[in-house]
Amino acid sequence: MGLVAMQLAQTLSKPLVRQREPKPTDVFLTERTISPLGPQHHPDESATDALGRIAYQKLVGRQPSPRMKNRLSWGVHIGYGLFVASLYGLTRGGRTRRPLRDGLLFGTGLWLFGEELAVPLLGLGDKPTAYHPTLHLQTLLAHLGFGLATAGATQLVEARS
Amino acid sequence: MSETVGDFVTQRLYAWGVRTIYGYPGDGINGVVGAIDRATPKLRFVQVRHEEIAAFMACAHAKFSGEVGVCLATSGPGAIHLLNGLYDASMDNQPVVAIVGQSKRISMGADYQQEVDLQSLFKDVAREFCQTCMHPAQARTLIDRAMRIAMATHSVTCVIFPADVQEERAIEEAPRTHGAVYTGVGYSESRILPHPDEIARAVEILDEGERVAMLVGAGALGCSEEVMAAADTLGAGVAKALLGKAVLPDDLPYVTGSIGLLGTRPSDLMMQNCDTLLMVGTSFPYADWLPRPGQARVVQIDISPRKLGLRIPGDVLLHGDARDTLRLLVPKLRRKEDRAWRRGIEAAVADWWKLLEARAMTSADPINPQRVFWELSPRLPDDCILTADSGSSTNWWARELKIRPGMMASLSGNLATMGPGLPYALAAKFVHPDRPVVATIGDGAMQMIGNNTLIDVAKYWREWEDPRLVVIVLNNGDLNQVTWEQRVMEGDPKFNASQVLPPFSYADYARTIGVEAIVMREPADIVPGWEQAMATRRPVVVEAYTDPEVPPLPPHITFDQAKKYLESLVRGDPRRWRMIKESAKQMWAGVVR
Repeated sequence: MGLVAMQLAQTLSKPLVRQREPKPTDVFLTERTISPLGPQHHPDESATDALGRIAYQKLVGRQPSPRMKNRLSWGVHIGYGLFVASLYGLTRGGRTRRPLRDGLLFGTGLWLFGEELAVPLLGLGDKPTAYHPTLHLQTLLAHLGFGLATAGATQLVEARS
Repeated sequence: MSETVGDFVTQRLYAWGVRTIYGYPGDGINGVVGAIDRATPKLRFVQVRHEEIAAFMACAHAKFSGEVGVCLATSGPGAIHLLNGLYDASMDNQPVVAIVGQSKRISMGADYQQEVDLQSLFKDVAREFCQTCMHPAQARTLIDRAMRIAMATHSVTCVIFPADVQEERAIEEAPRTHGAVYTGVGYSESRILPHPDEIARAVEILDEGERVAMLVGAGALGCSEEVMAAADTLGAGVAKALLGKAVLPDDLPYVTGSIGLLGTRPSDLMMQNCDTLLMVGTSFPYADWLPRPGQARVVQIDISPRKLGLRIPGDVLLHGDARDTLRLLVPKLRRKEDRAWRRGIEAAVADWWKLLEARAMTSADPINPQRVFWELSPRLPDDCILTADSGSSTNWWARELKIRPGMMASLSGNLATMGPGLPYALAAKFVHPDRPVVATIGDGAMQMIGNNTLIDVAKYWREWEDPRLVVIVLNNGDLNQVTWEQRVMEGDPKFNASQVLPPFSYADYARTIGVEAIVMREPADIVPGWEQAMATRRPVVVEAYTDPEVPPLPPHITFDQAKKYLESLVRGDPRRWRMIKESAKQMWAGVVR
């Protein structure tokens, strides 16, 4: 449910997103990263694309095909979503009385520490300033959607049980 | 006909094209010195204050003339004093011949006064050729071989003459007996070119590269046109090792300047992000500033096969002369139509010059050393020769001074010794008396050997067609490069007992020996100081009182460096508050420019 909400928020906010004016120095991938590991993603890859590709390369020893890469990316996306939603359920389940507040906090936290911090620090995305502010807004909205849906679903499950 | 072996030696050196010998006399070499007197004015003896200066000058003579540099010293202590300058020549691959005296043959092995085992002393630095002349008939062979081997291998050679041999009657031609040899004068450079198959492989790699970087060094001096053609075809940027500073002018938008700890940000960015590296005539030592293993494919060109694949594994190693190899290679390359990489490099270079200006214009106490160099750069005479010493001043020399076409520049590249800045400048004046010379030196090197060399400047300057020799001394009272290394590499605070220099007025000293002097005590003195220095028709010492706490920031700061810097603060660096303040100002200048 959370992932569906996230996808929905992303689709709805798409018209708002602007691209950052390209700079000649964008050719320096190391300039676009804050990761001590250096850039781990290719210029056209999302964080989930990159993670899927890296895992595949480690296991299989070669680059995945574009189709496989897409599947892997979705796998990572869904797997990560399920993982963090479970974490939310485990830590908040049974005590949640204010799903709106908790969902917003959870989504914001996930966005801040995952999307804005962990992803660039691991080199799976560029440094935050490499993206147009509207893209940050879009990912925030998507994560808020995910957080709210996760909190709502948790509340629903608890109410039924 | 030669009278003595000493006379024969001087005549033979003259026949090889030697016109100047840098040295210091002593009783172990008097037989040759007397012969040089008799050979004057065909041969010129340049007496300097210390044998080390003579060896540095021989090295610089080779660097600035392309000829063999010759230095001379007496036995024992004089010979020992030569060593540092000879190592400088050896490590920078310069042809230098050392003529050294020795105890008489009857004293050798007697633990005699000043008797040193010179064969052993010089066997490393003159590893290509080091021989003792034990018989007058040997002199011809030894001089011929020393000269030819120095030229052919770009190395230091040494001939040792026992004092009594120098005074013996010369034997120009050995008697025709079994064992006698008859060497001759003359050497001509070969044209060394790689195999065509290797050129084809290099073309393939360079054509496939999408982000090509070039790194050029001393081996590319004199082939600017070829390097520019290669860079243009490949859409590459060009970084320069310090000894290759004069390969390309710095006003070309794709020249990223120096590389390494003393290097520039665009050079660093280019190396970190390239997928192909073309190295031309360089054995730049710091592999940590080159592409990471597996990051880039490497094509290397070098005249010396010993230098190939030395710092980074090469995919194609081309043994050949830089100019001739590039002339073969470049026409076969496909011009890169996608210029995005090149545009990125040019943008980074333009940004770098703005950053340098912002850093240079930041205030300091009393003067920011970067500003001294920043203001000097546009005021350098067109055809000047630049020399540098080793120390924190080398950072600013490497980064701030923009080389223009026709200029020459050198320093102790691989030995990176303190001391050669002024001896190099003096040698440059002997080689090119019609060109202005600008030497940059720290106060440590000035106290070590520069002040003595300044006496030689005072001695000789009236002979020069253009008497301008500008000596910049950064007076910060600190062995500054090492102080920063103690802080940033060891995490140690500045150790005053080892780092602080005794106060000394270089300007007052210069005036007492008849050299002009200009003092820069505050930023307002800098521009008028340079204008006056460049307009003065005699040697000038420019003493700039600079701030030792302005950090020589590297192109990127590693986590370990940052940690060590903080450790030095925590451990109580005596200048910690000023360190913090000046570092913050330098960093801030980069943010707000």
